[in-house]
Amino acid sequence: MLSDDVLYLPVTELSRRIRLRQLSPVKLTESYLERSQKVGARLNAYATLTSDLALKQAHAAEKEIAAGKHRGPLHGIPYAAKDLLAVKGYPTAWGARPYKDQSFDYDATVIKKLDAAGAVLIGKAAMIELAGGLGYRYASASAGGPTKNPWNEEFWTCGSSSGSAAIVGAGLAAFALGTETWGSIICPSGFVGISGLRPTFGRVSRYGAMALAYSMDHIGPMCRSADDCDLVLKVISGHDPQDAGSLAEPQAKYAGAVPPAKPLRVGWIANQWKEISPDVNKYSTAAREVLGKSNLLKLSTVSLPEGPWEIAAGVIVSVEGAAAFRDLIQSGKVSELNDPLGKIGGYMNETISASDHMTAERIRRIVQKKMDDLFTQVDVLATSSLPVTATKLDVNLDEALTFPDPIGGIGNICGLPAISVPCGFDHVGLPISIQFIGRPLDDAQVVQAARIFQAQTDWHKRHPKLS
Amino acid sequence: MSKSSQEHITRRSFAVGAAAAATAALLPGKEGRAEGEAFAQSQTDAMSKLSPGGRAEVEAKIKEIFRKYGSRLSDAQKADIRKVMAETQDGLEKMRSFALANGDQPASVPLILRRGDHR
Repeated sequence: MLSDDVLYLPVTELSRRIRLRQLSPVKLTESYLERSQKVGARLNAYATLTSDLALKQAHAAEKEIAAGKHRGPLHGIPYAAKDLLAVKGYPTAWGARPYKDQSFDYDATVIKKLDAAGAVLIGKAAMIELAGGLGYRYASASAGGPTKNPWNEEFWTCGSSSGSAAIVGAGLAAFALGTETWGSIICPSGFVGISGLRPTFGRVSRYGAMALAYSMDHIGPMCRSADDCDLVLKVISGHDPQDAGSLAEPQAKYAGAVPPAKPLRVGWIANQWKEISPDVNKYSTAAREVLGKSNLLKLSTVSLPEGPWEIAAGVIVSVEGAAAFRDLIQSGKVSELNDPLGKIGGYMNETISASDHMTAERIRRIVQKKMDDLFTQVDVLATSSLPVTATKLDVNLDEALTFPDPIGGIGNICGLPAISVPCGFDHVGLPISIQFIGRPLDDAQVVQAARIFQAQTDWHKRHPKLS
Repeated sequence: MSKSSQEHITRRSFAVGAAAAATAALLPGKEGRAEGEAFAQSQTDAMSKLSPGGRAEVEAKIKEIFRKYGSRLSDAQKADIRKVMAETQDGLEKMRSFALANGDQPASVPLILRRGDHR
């Protein structure tokens, strides 16, 4: 088995070694699989391991590369996909017991794209049931139980891309795919101290992905660095006629981040968090100082517009979720979900009126205009990813992880790209992160800001010591 | 970091309400009468903060939920629904009070706005 030093390398370096034939995709895959079987099981990180497929893809990659055919930076790179992405021949249970036997006879578009790029799928990542679509109060709202944080197994990873975060954070694969409707990439990336990117809405096809909120669902990479997110997004982005929300190809295709011709204007958000823990405050202040010292960035302070944006976002998610899971709700099979709120949330969501839904959509347009105005002042916004570090596995999240999160609501209701990157650790060794948020289609600026930060810091290079 | 649920909606509970109180721990049952009373009190508190119109709307919605799905629900779940629905109402009323002009159109999906091009 390869050493931790290799297994925790970023995709950029793994790829370089594979291309130069210094690293075998088969050995790399075998090592990640072995580690996933041991550590992954302990963390509840996986819904399913796809060992047979992984070894088949790894051997094919090794053979092709030996023959001089290198498909690109993800060729031979092992990854995991959140268990709401269809993979032919394997269960796709959406993290939920009512769907435990569900499978699809086709691959999601992102899986196809990664297959074409030569990537190696080693497993389906555990997740919060239905991506939290009907609500949840406990980390145990997952078919396989709560996913444990690799930095301290008494703590949670956050959700809903809980397994994806644990897999990357614990060195069980080189990267993972997650999804976000509201916080499901940014929060797990923040709790586990990895780099997670929520792309612009419509840039990555959702065909073959479980739908929760048709107008807010995003698929994005969860990696060990902003550079890796950049590599993966280049591969998975692009127009797909099978996704009604997919942007036209010139907008959808992500060309990658290049160094800016002039300093990026970064606006630190003054009014994001009403309260913030002392540790998070200390390290996010230090991160802000790093940004302020960079001659590639021009730092200022800005304020988000005030308004009922989060409520509008909540109404939209709830109504779209009630429609997406109508059969589950009306059949009563919601009672098979793990979480007490998930069992009843759908019934309540069905009572939201069409008038309230339309009001929320009208408010969405207002906040989109207001954010567009804000982005005439700055290229990228920045703030702490979360005001707290990871919560304990067994707490009631309504008590322990409940606070206003305006940029989370705004970011998803407006389809804005965002990336979370680590910036420190609290007094018990749990990660702290900051996020950068951009205008729609400015994924490259978001990635570039994170790259500049990671060039000045080494938080993203640290990893937990796991036995 | 817990906040009054009337102030916001979280990513985990969306519009079903951000129940900041420890709802599950307060459900009536084996925990005993005192906790059941506390739960009933929390429902009363959430309802009491609403306007008469808001209370009537919540009661009507709860009645509709129980009409359609009541046979599937335990007493504890019914109590939970009452509490969350009451806590959620305030957010809905705040949203409805946001000033919108007749011509303010909806966005059913995120718009790709670029540098003031909505003007």
